[in-house]
Amino acid sequence: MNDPHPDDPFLAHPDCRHILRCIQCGACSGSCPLGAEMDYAPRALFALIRDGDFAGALKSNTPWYCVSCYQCMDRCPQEIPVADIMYRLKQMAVAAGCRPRIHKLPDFYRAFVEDVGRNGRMTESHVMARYSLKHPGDAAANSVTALKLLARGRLNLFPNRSRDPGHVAALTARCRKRGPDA
Amino acid sequence: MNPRDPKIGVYICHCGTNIAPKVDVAAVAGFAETLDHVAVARDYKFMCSNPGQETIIADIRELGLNRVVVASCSPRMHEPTFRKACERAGISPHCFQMANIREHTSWVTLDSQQATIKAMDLVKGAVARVFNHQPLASREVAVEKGILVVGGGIAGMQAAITAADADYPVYLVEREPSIGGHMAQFDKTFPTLDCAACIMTPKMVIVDQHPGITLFTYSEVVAVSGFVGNYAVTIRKKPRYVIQDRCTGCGTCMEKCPVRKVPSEFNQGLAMRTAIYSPFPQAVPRTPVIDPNTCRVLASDKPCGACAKFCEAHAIDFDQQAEEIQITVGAVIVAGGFQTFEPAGIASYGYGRYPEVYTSLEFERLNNATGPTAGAIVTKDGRTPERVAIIHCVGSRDRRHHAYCSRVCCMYSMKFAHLIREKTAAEVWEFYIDIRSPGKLYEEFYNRVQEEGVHFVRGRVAEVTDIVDRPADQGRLTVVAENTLTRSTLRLPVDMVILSVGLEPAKGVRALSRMLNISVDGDGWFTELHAKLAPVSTATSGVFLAGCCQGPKDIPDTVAQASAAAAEAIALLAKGTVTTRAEISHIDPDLCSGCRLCLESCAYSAIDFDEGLKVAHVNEALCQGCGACAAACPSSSAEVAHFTDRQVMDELEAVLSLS
Amino acid sequence: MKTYAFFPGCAYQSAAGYAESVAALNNRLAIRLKELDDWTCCGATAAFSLDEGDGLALCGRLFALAQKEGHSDIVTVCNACYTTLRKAGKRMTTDPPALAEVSRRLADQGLGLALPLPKVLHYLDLLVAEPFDRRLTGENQVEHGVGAVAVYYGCQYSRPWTTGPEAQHPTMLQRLLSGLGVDVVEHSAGTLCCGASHAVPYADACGPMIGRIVGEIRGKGGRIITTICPMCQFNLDAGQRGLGKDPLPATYFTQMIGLALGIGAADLGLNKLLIPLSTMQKKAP
Repeated sequence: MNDPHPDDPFLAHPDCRHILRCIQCGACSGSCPLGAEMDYAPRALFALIRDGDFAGALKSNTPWYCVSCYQCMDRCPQEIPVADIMYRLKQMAVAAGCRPRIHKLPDFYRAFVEDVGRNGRMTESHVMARYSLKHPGDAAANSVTALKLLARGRLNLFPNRSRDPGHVAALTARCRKRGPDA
Repeated sequence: MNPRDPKIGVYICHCGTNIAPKVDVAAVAGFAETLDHVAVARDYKFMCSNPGQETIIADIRELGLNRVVVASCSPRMHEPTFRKACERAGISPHCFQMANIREHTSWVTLDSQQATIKAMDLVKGAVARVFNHQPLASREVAVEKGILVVGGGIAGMQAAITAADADYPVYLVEREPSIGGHMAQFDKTFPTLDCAACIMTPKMVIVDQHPGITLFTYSEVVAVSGFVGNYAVTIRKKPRYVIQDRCTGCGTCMEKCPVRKVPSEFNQGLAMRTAIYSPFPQAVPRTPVIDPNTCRVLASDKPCGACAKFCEAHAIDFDQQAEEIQITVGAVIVAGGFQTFEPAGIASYGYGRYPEVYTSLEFERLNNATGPTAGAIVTKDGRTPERVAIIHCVGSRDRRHHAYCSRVCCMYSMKFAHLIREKTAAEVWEFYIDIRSPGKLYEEFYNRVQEEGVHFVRGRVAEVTDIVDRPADQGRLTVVAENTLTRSTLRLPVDMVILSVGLEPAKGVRALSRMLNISVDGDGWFTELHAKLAPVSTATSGVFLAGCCQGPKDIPDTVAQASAAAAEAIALLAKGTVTTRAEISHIDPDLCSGCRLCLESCAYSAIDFDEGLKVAHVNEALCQGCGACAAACPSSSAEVAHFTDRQVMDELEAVLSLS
Repeated sequence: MKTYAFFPGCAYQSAAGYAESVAALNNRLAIRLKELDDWTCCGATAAFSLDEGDGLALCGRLFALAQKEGHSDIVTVCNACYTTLRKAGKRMTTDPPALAEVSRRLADQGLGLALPLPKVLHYLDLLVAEPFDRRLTGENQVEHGVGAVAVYYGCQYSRPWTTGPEAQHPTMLQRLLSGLGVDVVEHSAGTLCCGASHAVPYADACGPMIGRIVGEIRGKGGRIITTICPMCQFNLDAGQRGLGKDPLPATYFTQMIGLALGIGAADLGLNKLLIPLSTMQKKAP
């Protein structure tokens, strides 16, 4: 198995092409705060992609655990935009309908953009409510905090709305339409 | 002037199957016979072989040929071969022209018919050109025998010794107070673990005592002019403020000096020196220097003079001035050395932020018996470390700093591991990306160090931090890296971190580039003439390279290269003369208008202006025949021999003509 | 006197006194911020993770709104907004087809984009530069009992925009606070990630991240943490349960500066913190 074909759509993206420079040093994986939670930490994921198993890469939970802290990019000696490649992998996973084994974050992001598409702005309580429909456990865990926030006037129950949310609906049509099934 | 009775011989080579059958060589030979002034045209399997050459020689003798064309490979391959054949047969080697019907034709053209037509065009051009060739003469210029060596580290010393042993007077110039370079700072050297000082001090003594070597320390080359075989060099001796002939090296001045807290350069700032100092105990020469920036008398005009008061040899001279010395030499060997990468710019490794992060050169001093701790491996607060991490590839293999591999760091890192294990009970952890151990007994050294229980983790360190995971480790450092082979993240508490910093060109050495007309590459290393086939010469005749100034390398390669550079310098000067190129520029004084455009365009400073006649004049020994002056000259008074307008234009017209 | 376009972001209003303290500083330092009319969400990490085009378009809309009002800068108060906008801006500036596509979608809403796009600034960038930096030194020093303050920048302010030492250990806010007489402690967790929105779905994984930051600050003698991003402040404010020690209050840098300038705690929204400052720490002269 070898590198993706030079015409591969993944390599066509200006950020992703740099993966060909990877010398597998591990600085990115060493820097990643949630690397231990990933199916494959960044370096191993790149090895997987270069080995030809792109499908495996898209199905992994790796890019969803990326917190975009950019430590990897600060340390990569080959100047590979690791975190930006993670964004691209997330976008391609969504487009391909790939659903990682643990899928809470994609659901969280979907709840986020649904709220934005509807109201133009994001309201934390609404996003949490939407997300909790799929993952009630997390809602329960956050309930104490929610009450404390409410007590200090920090829990906005009414939606945070822009004047004409229709504008934003149009600009979020694609991320709201696609996504993992259900 | 064209020959009165031109007779051109044309030879088409098959080059085995490299040219034929792609090019129809028989047809090309047949075509050549139809050209003006061609007396004979042949094709043959291997023109460069003895029978091939003999055919040319026989034809010249029997048919009276006075011009020869060979259509075969690139002139860079066999032009010298065929030129010599012409010379043996009695005609000038310059009355010869090659047509490249291999690299330029058979190897790059897909269609056979097109290749044959192209070969015919090229032959036609060569025949038209050679008709205009003239015999050219080279001159012999007498050369100076002396050799200048710039830099007194192991490379410079080796080059100096080799040349001086061959009876060539050597002038060795070193800008530090002592020779020895960085090798003098090392403790043990890989893979044999010889003590650096022990193997080098004999060489330092030889250099000091060799009747053929004139040593200038605390000196710099400030100007170079001239040309190969005849370089005029100005050396500036910085004032030591100590009279070298009187000083006995007793060291009393250093004991008495009241300024005692100057960070020692030799000890990488880990120890202090005095204002009057000798960098290290085995320094050559032993004569100290006074640092004008920290001496009370020299820097702040304060009354002191303790050294002068106690010097029994009366060798202190606060009024000493710099001296400029002029010498003439035939060749120059540049041995400017290297410096180590400065890691403060890599925040994630904590150099400068945490006290127990050291560079490799600092650790050499720590480990050395003449260093700040008399060779004890201890932290700055005097504790023996329980665990030491060695981080490879700091500043190397990194696009943001130096993309190249510095070649010596894996080996010295493993050397450190061995030495630490030898002296302490500390655990040693090597964090690497690849282990590069290509030299003789290097891989075996790696095996040995592994078997000594050193831990190897394949993972480039992500960070060195003082954030620890267990309260008991407070005060230690944590090294964070992925173990790429086990796919787990390691957060290792350590007491000391050594950064294996890479090599880069030494500061200030680049100025030599302009003085000597040699190039540097994108990383600042001096450029050799040919990466594989001419690694110690430069594009400038008479200037050679030795050691790390040409690129990072270990001591064996440095010494080998230094001897090679000396040998090449000797080869250049051995005959007592150099032959100037025949294909050089000539300026017709009758046509020259004195505009001086040629002077500005000459990259080799090979054109002088004759103020009396108000015309430009080419220095035949310096001219490299590049043609810039000929192109710039508005009156066509500058022309390069063997590349005259007539020769080039006739060739072009023939190649482009339709018939 | 320049008026800057202000993009508050979705988390601003419900943040623990961020809006109050920024308003107080604007008033005291005569900083003129004009909220972008009809601003909408920048999309943060969510939109970019799902669709690149939408992610760029949401940011493009904000650039277009700013340009419509004649602004050449946009000031943000949130690291996520800052980096998301800056990233989108860089992409649209260097990739003409991306810019063209965004422009096409914005044209449907009657908005247009022109290069150069507005420069993205963090409110902190305003305070450390001319002319406001001069209003924050020397004569403004006031006695107060704030206690040892540790600056926590979060990960998306210095990175990926700065290289070299400042990417790991920025120093501008410490200098600003020291110049106001605040007792600042140095520590090594200044740009470690707080976990951001991962703290919701992956609370267990993110817990240790907060633990490391707070532990390091506490170990170096810090008693108050001050942040520059609502997400970071929230994660520190709400995420210290389970660390087994008295939690350290997490404030906004604008609140600390306000206290140092002698502005009253009530005007800085300090009562909104989940982990309150002690009475001593809130004292104004």
